[in-house]
This record gives sequence, structure tokens and C-alpha cells, in this order.
Amino acid sequence: MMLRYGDAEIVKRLVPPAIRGEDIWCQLFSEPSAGSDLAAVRTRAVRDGDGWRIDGQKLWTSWAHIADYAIALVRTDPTMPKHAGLSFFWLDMKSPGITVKRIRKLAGESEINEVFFDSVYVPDNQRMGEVGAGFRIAIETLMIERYAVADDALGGPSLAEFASQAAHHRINGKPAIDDGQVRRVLADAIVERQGLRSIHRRALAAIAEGREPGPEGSIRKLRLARRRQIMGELAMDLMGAQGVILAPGASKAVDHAWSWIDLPGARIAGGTDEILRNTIAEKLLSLPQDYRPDKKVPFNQID
Amino acid sequence: MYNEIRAILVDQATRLLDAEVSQARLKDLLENPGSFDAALWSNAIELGWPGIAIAEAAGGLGLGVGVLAPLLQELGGRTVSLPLVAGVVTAGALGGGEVASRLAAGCAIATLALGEAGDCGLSPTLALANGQLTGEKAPAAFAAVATHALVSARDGPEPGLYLVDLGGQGVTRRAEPAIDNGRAAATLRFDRTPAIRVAAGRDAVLHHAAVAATLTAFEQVGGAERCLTVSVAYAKERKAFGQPIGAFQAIKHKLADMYQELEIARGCAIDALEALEQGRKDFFALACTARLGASAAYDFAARECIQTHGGVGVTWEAEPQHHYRRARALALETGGGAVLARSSDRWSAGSGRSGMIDLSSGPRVALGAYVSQARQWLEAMNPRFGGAARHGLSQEDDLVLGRAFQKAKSEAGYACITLPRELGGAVPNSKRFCSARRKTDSISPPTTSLSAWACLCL
Repeated sequence: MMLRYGDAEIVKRLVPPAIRGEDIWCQLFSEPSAGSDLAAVRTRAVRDGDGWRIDGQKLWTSWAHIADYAIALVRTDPTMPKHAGLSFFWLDMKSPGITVKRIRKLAGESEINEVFFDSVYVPDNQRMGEVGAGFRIAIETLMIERYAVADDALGGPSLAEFASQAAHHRINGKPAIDDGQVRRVLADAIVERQGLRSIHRRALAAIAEGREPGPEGSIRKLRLARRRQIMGELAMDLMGAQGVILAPGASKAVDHAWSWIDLPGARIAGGTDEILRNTIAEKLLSLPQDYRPDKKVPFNQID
Repeated sequence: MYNEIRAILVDQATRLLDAEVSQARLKDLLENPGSFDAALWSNAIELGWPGIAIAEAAGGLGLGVGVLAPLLQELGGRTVSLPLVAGVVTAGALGGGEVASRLAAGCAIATLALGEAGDCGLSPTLALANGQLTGEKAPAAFAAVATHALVSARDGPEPGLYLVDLGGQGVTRRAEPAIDNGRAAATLRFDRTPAIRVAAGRDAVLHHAAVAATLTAFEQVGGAERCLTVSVAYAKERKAFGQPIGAFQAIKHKLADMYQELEIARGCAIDALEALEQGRKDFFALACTARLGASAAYDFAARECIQTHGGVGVTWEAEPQHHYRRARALALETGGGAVLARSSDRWSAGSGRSGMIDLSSGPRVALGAYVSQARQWLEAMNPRFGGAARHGLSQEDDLVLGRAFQKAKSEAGYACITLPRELGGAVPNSKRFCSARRKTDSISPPTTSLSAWACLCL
């Protein structure tokens, strides 16, 4: 996004250290009252000389506690309808007035935070895009995220891992992998994975030929998150009573219990299952939008 | 060239089918058991369709299954039944000879008789004795009108495929009322009927069934796609409670699910077809995914197409009934889903038989040198940064390791490969920015932990 909207000087200064892993960036989008309905953000930016003063609160911000910089979506004009009054900035997380508070997730340790803004000054040259164009830029950012979230198992155990465990676990003395229901679930997962791989392969081929990839790539995160949860549940079932064990220090990439307990966030972050279905229906199938009573109302007049 | 031929054929098919195939004509076919649209078959013969995917050596046009597939998709979308798949599979099993060239010319019609009553699998009990078959096969599509049957049977313990001339001795066909009378289906009974062996062994039987399944998957994808199209159109037009029903999430989410199932099925079918065209070892496993994916997608789409239409959907006059029938018929004809889900025994990790999906392998793509190089690099980094190295680390220590991995990637040219090199990416000049985008996504490193990381960092 910096390459698209940042000026050349800033790109040269900030992008290389980010790529080398020296600087970490976070994304200040969601708020207590703006999650799926991202355009409802309330964090205010008010003009102050050559810059802006930001007040408000962000929520669910991954890695904010270690981040050096951030991109942020804030409201610059509350008299406009909600989508139109937003702008997009980058900012230094060490700016005076920023407080970061860790949030403990259900799985224990966590990377997500609350971020509080108390009269934080941001110069106007850190604005990305026009005043009022913030929502569109935020959506562009999210589209990159939805596409990039990407290994076959979404960070959980692979199907090979599942199959090898199912070969060891037993159902009344017989290998679980020989059970018809276990095989059926595994077969469904393999079919889904193959379909997604095909979509991915064709998208890469399209890009390599200079064509736009098809929109079907957008189903990937939606399918893989739910799949990881299903496979986790089944793998735990196969362990029987032993399945309750949450071994300290085990990795969600190989341990099904950790994968399962860590999963729910994946069905919410970067677009909930429900929002993604809406997007498929409205953007790809051109079905009518949901009923949105607040759509054309100035933001400060919405109940 | 290849794409041009495909486009010409689809265009030709669209014009013929638009002109000839009406809803009324399709409904007439549903009225009586074993119905066949002989007039349309004559049109298809004039256009050379039966020979498209039959080898030149066997008297066909030798254009390949890749050319036939889009045509089948077009036919499937309209629930038009022509015995093209059975012809291709039978001629393929025969390899050549008079019957194959007659099939290619359309003057012979084939049926695939693989199923038997009482068993949903693909292991025949029909037995050969003295070169003759006696017994019955379950309803097979086009058996009511076929001149030849490719029959699965066993000779002693060994299953195989046999060619039967249906004009020969002891053959009785019985077209019975069925869920889809438009498939020209019939039960075949043999009484000391002469049969010629054309393929021997279980793997051969499964291979030819897999070819049929792969081609049929395109008919199923076409059908599922049509269900989605008509459902979406109806959901936009039909109003309830003051708005189009497509604005309600109960409907739009259902249709979004239909879209996902369709695209997954299409992906599996395309990959299986490619493996078939290239004669790859993983063809059978991919055909299983094509079969399961396409049957699931079409069943789901057909069922929910009716549901989306409400009362109109259950009428004789409306279109959804055709798909509801056809989806099930196609799912049953070449062996039910249960069979191929069972075949996932061939998918067990490390079982080592040919034709299996190796569960530990990455995407089935022709890997460019770049990707294999990137894989090698990831493999080499695995001990330092992979799952084992991260095991038990605190978040702080893990972060240190993560930064080090990102630095290593950057130094090796694998960090943000879509960005220009002067910024630390991998694109030598900014013009290639677009074409190089996302290429790393195809890298499937040996451990998921590492790949998850790679994706997080890229």
C-alpha cells in the first residue's frame, strides 16, 4: 500500500527496513464499534496546523505491541455519510499519546492488542490517498490480505500429518484411517484442497501471462479456516479422552489441539465467514446488497 | 490453435443447442423410460462430435479430451444427453479396430455397463465362462440404444472390461422407469453372450472408469454452473417482504456456497483432465477428486436451486427439476461417491503405489526452476527456522527468530519477491512488478510451520 500511496522519498526510507524484518508494521483498522462494518470507525482525526490530532481507540490490532509503524483508518469528517468521511494515514507507533494494551485470547498468549489514541499528532504528509478516500484504500489492503493468507493448511497441521496420526490412532483396536467416516472427511478435505490448488495454479498462470486472475481465489481463506477447524475436531475425536491435552509449547502447525483452540480467530480476522459470503454474493454474483439503513446518513446522525 | 478449436466447437454447440433443444423437448424425454434424442444425435454426428476425442489411429479426429471437455460442459448445462463419453472410453479401451472407428463415426453407440445391483462399488461379480457372459448389469446410460457395451466382469478372480455386441446372442435390455428417463438407460441381461476381453485387472477397470468420471465431471460442472446462474437470476427478480429474495442472507449465503462448491469442482476437474492428457501417474487420484467434487457440487446446486425457487421449483414446467434428476443420475452412473471416497486408501501417506496422491507433496504444478530453487532454499533453512527450531520458544524469542528469518529471506532474494530489488525485493526492474506478483505462493515448503511463516512474512 505504501508503494501505491506513499511518496517516493518515504518509500525509500521505510520499505527496505520492513522487508529486512527490522521494522514491524501493524494495521489499525477495527474498533470496538467497527468490525465487519469497518466503515463505522469512530477514531477521529481533526485538523491541527500542518497535521492532524487523533483521538480514539483501535481493537484487535495484531503485533501492535512490537510494531514500529502502523497504517490507520480514521474519521476525518463526521458530517459525511460513513464511507465518505474516512482517511488513511501511516504513523510512528512511538508518537506521544499512543498506548498499547495486550489482549489475552482464548488460546492464552496472543498477538492482538487494544491501541488508545490520546491527542496523537500526525503530519499531513503521512496521509495516504485523498482525504475521504480512506475506506477504499482500507478495502484494497484487505484484499491483499485475503489473497495472501495462504498455505494449504492455513498454518495448521497438513493433511499428511492428519493421515499419519489417523493411521496410529485406533477405534476399538482398528486403525482410525480404515474407518469410513474418517476417510470421507479426509476425502472431502483432499477434494477441497485440490480445487483450491487448481484455482491457485491457474491464477499464477494468468498473472504470468499478464492477465488478471479470476475472482475464485477469494474463496480460499473462507474454505481453509473452516476446514482447519473441522480437521482439528476430528483429529481430537480420534484421540478420544486424550484429545483434551493441550501440551505446553506445542505448535499449532503440528498439534491438532493447538490448531483447534487457536482457530476461531481465523474465521473472523480479515473478513468473517459471513462477510466473505456477502462479498461473494454481492461482488461476484451481483446479488443485491443487504439492507443498510445507515448508508446515506451523515455519520454523526446515525443512532 | 488448441484454444481456437475449443472455442469454435463451443460456439458451434451453442448455436445447434439454442436452435434445437427446447425445454419442451427435454421434458418429452422425461416422460418415458429409456428416452433418447436420436435427431440431436444425428446433428452431433454431422458435426463430428463422436470422434473428437478418439485417437486418429482408432478412426477419430484425435483432438483430445481437452477439446471435448468444454463441449461436455455445454451439454451438461442444458441437461442434454449424448453418448459421447461412453464412446471415447470404449474406443480408448479398444485402442483401435472396426468397432472403435464406427464409434468415432457415430454409427455405433457405446454404453458403459459397470454397475451391478446390490453393490455400489466397481468390483464386478458378473462372471465369464467359456468366453461368454451370463447375468445382469444395473441400469447403464444409453444401454437402451447402444450397439456395443463395455462391461465389467470377472474371469476367475480377475476383474476386467469386456466388449459385448448388443446385437449378439442372449442380450435383453430393459428400460425401466428412472429418476432421469432422458439418459436412455436400460438394465442389461446376458445369457451366454459372447464377450471379448479388452482390459484386464482391477487397475485397468478403475483407470477406464476414471476417464469416464473425469469427462463426466465436466457435464456435472456445466450443470452446477447453470443451476447457479438460474438461481441467481431468480433471486434477483423474485421479491418477498418488499425486496428481492437475493438480498436476504439466507439466500445469498446459500448461493455463495453454491459458487464455492462449483469452483472447487471445476478446479478438480481441470486438474484431472490435465493429468489425463499428460498421461501422468497421479491421474487416478485426481480423477477421484474430480468425481467427488463434481458430484457434490452438482447435487448441492440442483437441490438448492429448487429451494431458491420455492414452489415454482417443484413444478414440471420449471427448469430446476431437470438438474435435480440429472445431478443424481450422473452421480450414480459411474459408481457412487462412496466408492471413490473408499479409494482414498490409495491416498494413505507413504503407501507408495503408483497413481496415488502423495499427501506430503505440494501443488500439482509444473514447477519452474525458480520454484524448485526456492524450495531447496526453504528446505535448507528449515533446521534453523522451521517447526522444530520454534518449538517451545517464548513469543519474544520466536520474534527474534522471525526477524532473523525475514532477514535471511531478504538476503537470499526471497523476501517480498513482488517488490523492486532496490527496496529489498526481488524484481530487477519495476516493470516486471505485476508479472512476478505472488509467485512465492506456489512454493509449498516441506513443513507447514515454515510455509505459514513464509506467507506471513511475504
